[in-house]
Amino acid sequence: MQRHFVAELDALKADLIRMCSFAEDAIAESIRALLERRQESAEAVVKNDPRINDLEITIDHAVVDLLALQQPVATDLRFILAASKISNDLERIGDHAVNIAESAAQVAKLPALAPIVDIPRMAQITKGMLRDAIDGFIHSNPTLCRAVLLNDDIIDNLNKKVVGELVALIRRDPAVVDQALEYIRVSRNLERVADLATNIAEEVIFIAEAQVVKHHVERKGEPPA
Amino acid sequence: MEPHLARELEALRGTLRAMSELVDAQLDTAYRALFEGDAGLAAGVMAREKEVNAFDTSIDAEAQRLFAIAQPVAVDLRLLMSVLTVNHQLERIGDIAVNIAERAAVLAPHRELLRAARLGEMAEIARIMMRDALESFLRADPALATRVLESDDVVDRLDRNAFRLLVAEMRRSGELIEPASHVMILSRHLERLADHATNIAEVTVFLVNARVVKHQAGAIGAH
Repeated sequence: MQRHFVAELDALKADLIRMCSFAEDAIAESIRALLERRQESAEAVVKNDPRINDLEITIDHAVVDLLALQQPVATDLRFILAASKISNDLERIGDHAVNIAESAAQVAKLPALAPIVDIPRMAQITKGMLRDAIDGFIHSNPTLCRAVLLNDDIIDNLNKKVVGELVALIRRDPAVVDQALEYIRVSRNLERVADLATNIAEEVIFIAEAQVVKHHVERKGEPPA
Repeated sequence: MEPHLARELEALRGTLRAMSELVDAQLDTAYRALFEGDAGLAAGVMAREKEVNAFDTSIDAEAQRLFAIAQPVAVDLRLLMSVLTVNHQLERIGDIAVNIAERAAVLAPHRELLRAARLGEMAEIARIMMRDALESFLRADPALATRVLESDDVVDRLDRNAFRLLVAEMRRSGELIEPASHVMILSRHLERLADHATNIAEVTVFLVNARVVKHQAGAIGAH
């Protein structure tokens, strides 16, 4: 393999890892803004979002260059195409962090609500899912990605629980409707982030299984699980 | 362009068109389930979701095959990349149709709330945006794509207004809290549908102008 190609592929991986850590930071910061009622944290998330958007464009360009100039085949080709899709998912995750930060900024202006303990828990699990999905992708580790799929069910259930509790809260005390709705939005945004992490994990598993099928001709025709 | 590759790309475009027709039919059924309160239709949307996913997988696989065997460059390369992006967006629109259908049953007794929140209007605009975006992509029509980009603000505004109205309804009546929260989610889904249409329109502009309009809202149409 050409040395130049290897270097470009490594640069692409580095950009994806960087993008992933920006996305993780954005989620952590937006949740901190929400819990600690910190307007500056919320503003920082909005201000930093262009870093994520710029990386998406950088990755898009790198992908086109790699495809055009290096004409990769097989595993490398699949990796590069998946990288393009994943950077698109990470960009959406950045947008969700901005949504959470916007809710945090609203919440900070309103009277405090009793803490919703499941929200920081959801954020914790979701960040872990994202990190595992990206690790699984970079290191071609489908086992790591399977754990992501299991966590997605946990997040779905937590989201339903949180929304149910908040709706009940509004019913008891209509005065808190504004805060409660912002928390509902946050919970939904976290649930969407978990969905996007799951998309990434599924992609990794799909790639790994396509290779397995390819390498075991007798299993051909069996759909991936 | 190599005549062989041209034929293959044309076939891929045809598959994409077939997929977009399926996704449009899914939205149509989901809308009817929701707005006509016919929850029975929702099951059909869920059942056909597999077909949408099958399209997604087969378009991805076909594009990958073309990358590998034809090693396209320049315009063909961009076109093939765009097909992948559009495919990805359509798959997500398919998910939105399912999400809409899933809420038809619980909202069947609350059609008045849907009307008050002007959800039908939003749904129609978002769907027209999606159709126009796909048409602009398939016919390489940047003027049509630009119109799609301009409509995105309208849907965003309707989403915000719906949110405000629904909060007011929740305050007014405890019984409306739960259905209103479902309508809020639907409003969000429609806003996302418009976003996906916008993404497709951006791809069209990119393909034609070979420049990135993403994340540069002010730059659209400016050369």
